[in-house]
Amino acid sequence: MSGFPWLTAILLLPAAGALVLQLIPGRAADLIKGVTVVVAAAEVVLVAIVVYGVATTSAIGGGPLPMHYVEQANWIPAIGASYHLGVDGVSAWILALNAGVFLLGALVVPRRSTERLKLFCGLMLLAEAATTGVLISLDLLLFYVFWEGMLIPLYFLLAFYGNENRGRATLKFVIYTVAGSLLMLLAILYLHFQALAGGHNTFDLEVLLQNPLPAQAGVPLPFTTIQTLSPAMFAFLAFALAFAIKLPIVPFHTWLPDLYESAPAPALVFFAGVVSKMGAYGFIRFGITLFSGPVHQLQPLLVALALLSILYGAMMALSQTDLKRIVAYASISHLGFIALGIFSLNQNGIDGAVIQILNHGIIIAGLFLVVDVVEARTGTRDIRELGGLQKRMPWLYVFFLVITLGALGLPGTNGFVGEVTIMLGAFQYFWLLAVLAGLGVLIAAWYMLRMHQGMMHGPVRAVTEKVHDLRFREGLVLAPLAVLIVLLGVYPHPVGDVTAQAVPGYVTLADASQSPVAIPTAVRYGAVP
Amino acid sequence: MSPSTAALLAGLVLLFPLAGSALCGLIGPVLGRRFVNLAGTLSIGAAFAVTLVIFAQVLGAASGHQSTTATLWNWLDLGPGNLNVSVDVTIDQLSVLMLLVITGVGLLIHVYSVGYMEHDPGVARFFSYMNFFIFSMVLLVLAANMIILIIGWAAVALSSYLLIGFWYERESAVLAARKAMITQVIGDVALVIAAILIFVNLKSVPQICIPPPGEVCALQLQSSQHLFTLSLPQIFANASSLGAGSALITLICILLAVGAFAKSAQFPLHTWLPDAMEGPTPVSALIHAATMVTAGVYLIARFHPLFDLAPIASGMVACVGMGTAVMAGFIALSQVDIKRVIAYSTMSQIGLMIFAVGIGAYAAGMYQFLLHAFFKALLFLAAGNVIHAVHDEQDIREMGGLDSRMRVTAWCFLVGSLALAGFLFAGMFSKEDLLGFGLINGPGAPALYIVGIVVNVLTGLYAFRLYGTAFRGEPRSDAARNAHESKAVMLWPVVILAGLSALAGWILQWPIAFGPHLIDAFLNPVFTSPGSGPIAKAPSLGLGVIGFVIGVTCSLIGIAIALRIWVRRDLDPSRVLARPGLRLLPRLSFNKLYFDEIYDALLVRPTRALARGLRRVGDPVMDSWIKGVSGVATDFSSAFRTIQTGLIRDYASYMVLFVVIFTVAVMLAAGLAK
Amino acid sequence: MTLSQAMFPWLLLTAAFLFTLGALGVLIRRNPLVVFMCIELMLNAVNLALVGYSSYLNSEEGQVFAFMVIVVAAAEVVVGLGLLTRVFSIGRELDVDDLDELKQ
Repeated sequence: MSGFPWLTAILLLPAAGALVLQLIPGRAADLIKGVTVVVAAAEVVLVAIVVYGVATTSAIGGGPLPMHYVEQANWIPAIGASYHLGVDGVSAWILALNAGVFLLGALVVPRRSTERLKLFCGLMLLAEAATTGVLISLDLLLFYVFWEGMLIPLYFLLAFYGNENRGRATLKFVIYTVAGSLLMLLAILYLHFQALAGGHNTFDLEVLLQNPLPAQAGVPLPFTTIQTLSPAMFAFLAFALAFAIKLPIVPFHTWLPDLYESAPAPALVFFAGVVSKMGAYGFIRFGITLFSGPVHQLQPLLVALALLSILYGAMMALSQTDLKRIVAYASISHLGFIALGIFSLNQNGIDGAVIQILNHGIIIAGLFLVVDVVEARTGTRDIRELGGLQKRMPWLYVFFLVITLGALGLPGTNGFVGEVTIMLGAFQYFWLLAVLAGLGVLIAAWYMLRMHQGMMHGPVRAVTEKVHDLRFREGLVLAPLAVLIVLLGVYPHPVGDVTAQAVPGYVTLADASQSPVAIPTAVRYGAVP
Repeated sequence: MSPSTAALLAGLVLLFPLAGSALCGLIGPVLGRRFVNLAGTLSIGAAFAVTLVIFAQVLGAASGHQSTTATLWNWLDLGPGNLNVSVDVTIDQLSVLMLLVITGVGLLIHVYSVGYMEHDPGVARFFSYMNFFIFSMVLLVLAANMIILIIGWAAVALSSYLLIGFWYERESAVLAARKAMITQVIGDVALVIAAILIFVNLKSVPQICIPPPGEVCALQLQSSQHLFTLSLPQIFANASSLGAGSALITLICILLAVGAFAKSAQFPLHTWLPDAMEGPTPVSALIHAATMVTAGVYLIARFHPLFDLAPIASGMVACVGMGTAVMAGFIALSQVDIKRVIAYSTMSQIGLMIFAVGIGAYAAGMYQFLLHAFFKALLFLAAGNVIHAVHDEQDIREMGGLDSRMRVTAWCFLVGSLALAGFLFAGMFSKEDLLGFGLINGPGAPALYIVGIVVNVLTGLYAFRLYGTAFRGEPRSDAARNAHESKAVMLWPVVILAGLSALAGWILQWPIAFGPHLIDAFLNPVFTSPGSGPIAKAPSLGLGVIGFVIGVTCSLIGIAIALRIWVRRDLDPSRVLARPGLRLLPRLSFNKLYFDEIYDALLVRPTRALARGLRRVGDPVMDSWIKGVSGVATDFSSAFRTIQTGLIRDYASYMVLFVVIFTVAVMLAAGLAK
Repeated sequence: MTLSQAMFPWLLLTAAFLFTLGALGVLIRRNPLVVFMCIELMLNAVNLALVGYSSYLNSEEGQVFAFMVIVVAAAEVVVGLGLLTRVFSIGRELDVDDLDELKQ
């Protein structure tokens, strides 16, 4: 690990790419797309180097969360904000997902629409820079800047390039996310002033973790030792709201199906693959570490909401007829699994959540790419009008089959690895959770097969009569996803290895012994003495 | 056998079918039918050859050293105390027996498929799927880690799904595939939860060391500690830490059994198997008769150290097995689709195997598995010949008189029917063997034995109803009249299987048709833990003879009645069945006891209705909180909207007005303060 | 420069009179140019008051603030006149009551 500022490089590369794009005349569509793809590919290479470094070297720093590639500089010294970057086993693979999915998104940018293509690509690159920043910031204020910065390019991408329903969807999305993140800013300021009172003028995560919030008395909930309404609890809720909306956890999810329905394909792939994972990442990196007390107080509520997401999303996916909405609700269900793993607050659960973040990003990107291809060919997303595509598009069938199997968590695909680890973690918290999550897996098989077979099988329909199979370029985009789904299913070891080296730090911070609602071990494990 | 040899051989037997699958699927469509036929069958042939080498190795190994476990690679390792899984394979007598059937019978069926799929445009896809199935099944039986086992388990389900839905343009095939897959996922989830239960609870069993006089133990008594492992050898070695007869181990075993029931089409997860007959007939022979559906039997046999400690779960397994055997036999009596009759007979026969492993007669269950694989594959392939000959007609009412038109097939089918019914050929040995164990083992013995001999009667009845209706009498359709024998590539596998069905039992059990057999001797080391005998006591010789005679007699009764009703036609069952108490029976049987309808009404429709209801009300309700927040803001702003006239003058007036009010207020306040 | 104590109330009254005049002009007149001049009148009335107070209280702050006001007024005129010429150039009558598009 030399002195080269790798993280600054991966942060600035997409932003610089966006700037370079502005120098190109708007008519040169090929050049614009070419530059975008090259920048995205270069980013993948840089991130690959970083992930390799994380996997092969030991972390530095004696802090509570050892980091790699740490960079630190003053940013706004007066208020103690710093430019503090770092990456660890939790963020490394999400970073890789970010770069990889973005490359796919860049590859599917349609070149035909030369109109405002430059702006589109520029906004995409800025969005990538912002998500990268979110993943590597170790300073709360810096994190917040990127978190909000993520919203701006995404807003314009939706507002300018979405389909006819975009107005309502964009408005809903903006209201939800802004409502969430403004409260988070207040909570960040609260943390800052608490630290200031303790003699630390800082927004730095590591310093804040070393000086945890003092235990504050609140109003105890009747019959329990749960302390409600303490300032720390409010601060956690403010963070949790922002993350829960982004993730999203039911009942904060209603913006998501509308948005997915109206977003343009390249942005959607990036959105579903990466942006929704930022909520999960935020919970792991900030939620459970800074607020271990409130998290434990609220753990029963949090896992209940996660479970609700799994089952509710699954049931909703079962009754939708629009392909994008099916995938959107399936996504909510899968993200519920991630949330369940995180809130189990044990190593299996969090490991599983990180693995699932990566795997779900791959799967969901694949699903939306397939839906996009089908919609472009047939002009419809209504499952009742589709059918018989296997006959017309055998190659699409192969890729879609693999992706479907990943999405229903078939053992041997990557979807299974995360799910089984999360179920194990959830079981170690409370056995019933794993059983009910299993019900979610079952319904997942139902809705995924309903979607897959509805599109692929049966007799050829009117809209699928004249479609042609995947072009080479399209296959080139789907093939790596399919390969990864299988590869990470039979050999998930590299992912698990990198993750497992970092997660114990998080588990220690979210010390499970603080739980006020002690479920007896026998009940938890379903063990009979 | 050293672990490295085991790893190499296991790797090869896994690799050949996988490579075959990839070749057929990826470049098969380009290179054409001839290549696909070659690649698809040679890969299985190679796997069979490797299996023979493994078999020789196991036979040649010294007693007590036949079992070898090897690690192929590390799957996932999340650190001590957390999930860690490596891709382990075990080669022992049990897995090698399974391998022999999978690759051996698989090879015959692949060869047969070359003929059967001759005119199908999707032949490359077909062989790709079939090879993939062999691969997954091999993985399933070799796995020595629960997660890997579950992966094989699911891969098998996947290939079954793909092959059931092979003719994907048929709506019924698509629905059947979906049903099969979802049922399999129920089993997968049950297995995963069982694995988690084991992972969380398994502790090491303290090793008690009694030192010889004058020496001390190198390893003192260890305290028991959590192992956090899913490796099968470790689970079996420390199974007693889960507590013999405890509720925990009972729960684990019931979950394992649910997985087994889903795969082996046992009540209440049996409804997918008849529908699975939508797939091509070789698929039915290989997957839905010979190998995949018996994986449940294998699972319970493999987990016998756990089931041995859970008598309640084992008893439940035995009851479900026998119950399914009767139920399926009863339903098979009135089905009219040739493949569905055989499917229900499969379900019934597997019920008997499940019964056997439930009462602890594991070797007897595996014996039945072996012989059943022969005669059931035979019946399906022969049925495939028939279906081919009568132009894809599957209704036996449209057949008849085929024995003179398809001599070889008819003779082979007769052998298969006799083997199935349990007279002279295969079934007579294995079925009577396991029923003999039922005489003195199992819950409420010999209650289940008595049910078992009823199954014998039923088996004789439906087996010869099928034979009589399809092959004897006069042709009842033009297609049947013009039927002709299949060609050699589809006959030879049938003849070989007929030979195996006829002879295997005699060879393995020479010279007497009851009592101990070679399979028993071969497998027993696997099922016997050192120091204790097999869990199920073998019946004494005298009891064995009595059981054998009763069993065969019952089979003969069934066969005789069937021959009178459907071949000689001098007995009319409709008079008997017209009696008030029995009038319902034919309808129940024909409608498969209404299971599909019941599940549809109790599970599928309510779930769909709930989903549809949620779609209507769910998101609006979930939206209400943000609507409430934004509603307040909207009301607030619309109240102020009325004064926004857009006239600068108005705004300026408001300003002046409020400045005046403000100034006056300040002055008043100042005045008051004085 | 000094200012007699007796003059101060008159000065304030003058400023108030000018301010009221300006305010009334803003409210009543419809020609934007006149409205502008009235705003200037108001600003200058305030300036007068500020300078008066500055002299009366013997402090420079008022004068400094008056300069600020002059600068702001100049900036405002620049922007405002720019807008007006723009409105005029697209061929519309100069009437503030017509310029209510923002309401929609």
